[in-house]
Formats: sequence, structure tokens, C-alpha cells
Amino acid sequence: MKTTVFNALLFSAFALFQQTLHAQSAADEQSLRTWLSNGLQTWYSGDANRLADMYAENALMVNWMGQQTTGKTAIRERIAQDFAQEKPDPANFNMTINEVRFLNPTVAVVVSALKGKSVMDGKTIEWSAYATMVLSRATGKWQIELDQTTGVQPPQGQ
Amino acid sequence: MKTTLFSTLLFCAFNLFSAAVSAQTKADETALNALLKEAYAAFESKDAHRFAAIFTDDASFIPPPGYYTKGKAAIEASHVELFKMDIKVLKTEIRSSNLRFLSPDVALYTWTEYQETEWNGQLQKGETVGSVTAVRQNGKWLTATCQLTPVMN
Repeated sequence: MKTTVFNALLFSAFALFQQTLHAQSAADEQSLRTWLSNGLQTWYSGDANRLADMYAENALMVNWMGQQTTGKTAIRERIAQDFAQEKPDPANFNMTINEVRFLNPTVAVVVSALKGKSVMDGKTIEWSAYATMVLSRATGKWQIELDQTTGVQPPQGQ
Repeated sequence: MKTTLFSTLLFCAFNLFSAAVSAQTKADETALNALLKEAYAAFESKDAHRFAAIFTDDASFIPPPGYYTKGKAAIEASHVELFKMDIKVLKTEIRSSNLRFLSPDVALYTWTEYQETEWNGQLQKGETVGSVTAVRQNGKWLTATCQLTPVMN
């Protein structure tokens, strides 16, 4: 009898622990998605300083052309240059999050599909790409450690 | 006297701890370098199963043409198809690399490679920027994310 009660209690405690863990990770994912959504709005606002603040001090940004920018200061300058060339427009850009994955409580990965229209040499081109962001959480705040984009190439023969 | 003894002990303990951490990092660096070498070796030998073995079950992979593959099984399946093509790796040169630990069990490895390959008899050459987020699972480093971006000149 005692063993049965003990087992039942143990099982309940374990189930409660599992539920708490799950709730914690669901809350974490929601807060991360909100942070990303706010980041996207910051991008649309064209505020290079606020956007650069989302990056870690020694972050690496790799754009779709394979250009590498290292460090928050250089990333701020790169973003400002990009904004000067083309102002972000919500009508011409769409980001769909494919996955949010926690590697541990302080490191997460976000993979997203990007689609947009840009003007290059006077021509409007449609493009699509995939991006991986690796994020770390320091003192409760998420920051981007890696932001890498790869353009989707049309299938061969097109 | 007591303070001096305590300080000496504290200093020794700190040195011992630093040496242990440094040795651990060195071992991890060696293991992570081996992980990247294995990826290239598996690709060059056109062994899809061997290539997929470096990934975690839920890994994501974005290769230079920019498609997204999710999970070890899908990565293996896509490489079975890819390796049916006439591909030869002629030359691979790692031109720069950087390794950072985001936590004791998560590392971010980035590098630039120059590669010459032959696809259906056509020579292709150029630089690519690669990244791997590696995680330690059951004492073994595996790839949780991998993305490759061709460098446009």
C-alpha cells in the first residue's frame, strides 16, 4: 500500500515537473517570437541603431551576397548603409518563421523564409532566401550571435 | 600567516581550474575541427549516410542553392539524390575560420572556404561562407544547424 501511494506521488510530481518545464519552454518560445516580431517592426522603421542593438558585441552577419560583417559597431554601419540604399517596406517584404528551436535555456535557433521585391539597376526583382539566426540570452535579454542569409537559386535550366 | 596560506591555496585552486577549463576547450576545439573535416570527407566520398551522421536528429541544413532541409533523415535522403549526380570535388581550401562557445555545450563555428568542383563536367569555383552551430549530445559534438552562403563577386 505504502509503495503504491509513494509511486503515485512520485508519478504526480514527475508529471507536474514535466508540465512546468513544458510551460516554461512554451513561454520562452512566445517571448522569443514577440522579440523577433518587435525586431521586424524595428527593421521596418529603418532605425539602424535600435536594430543593431539586437546584435551581440561580437556577432557575425552574413548577407545573401556572402559579405561578412563582424561586431555590433560594424553591423550598425552596414545596416545604416543598407537603409540608405533601400528603405525597408512592409509591402515588399515577408518573413515566415519556419522553426524556433532551443538548444538549451540560453541558446536558440530561428530559421525563417524571406521573400521580397527589390529594385536593382532600375529593375524590380523578386527574390527569396532562407535565414538562420543563432541567439543567446545574457542577463535575461536575447541577442543575435549569427545572422546568415542564403538566396534561393532558381532550379537549374530556368 | 593564515591569510597568506588561504590566498596561496585560492591561487592554486584557480590555476588548477583554469588549466582544466583550457584543456577542456582544447579537446572541444579538436573535436569540433574533426566534425568539420568529417563533413567535407563524407561529402567528397559521396556517402549520404556518413554525411548525415554529423547532424542531430532535428538539425536544419541550408546549402548554397538556398533550400531548407529539416532533420537528419531528410538531409540523408536529399544527399542520396544529390550524390547520384556527377560531382567531383577537385579542391577545398579553408581560408579563415572562427570558433566561439556560446555555452559549454554549444559552439558556433564559422569559416570561409574556396572550392573547385566539377558538376556534370563543368568546372565551378568560388568562395562560400559556412556556419555550424554544434551541440554536445552524450559527450559527442553534432551539428544542430548548418548554412552555406556563396560569395558573390
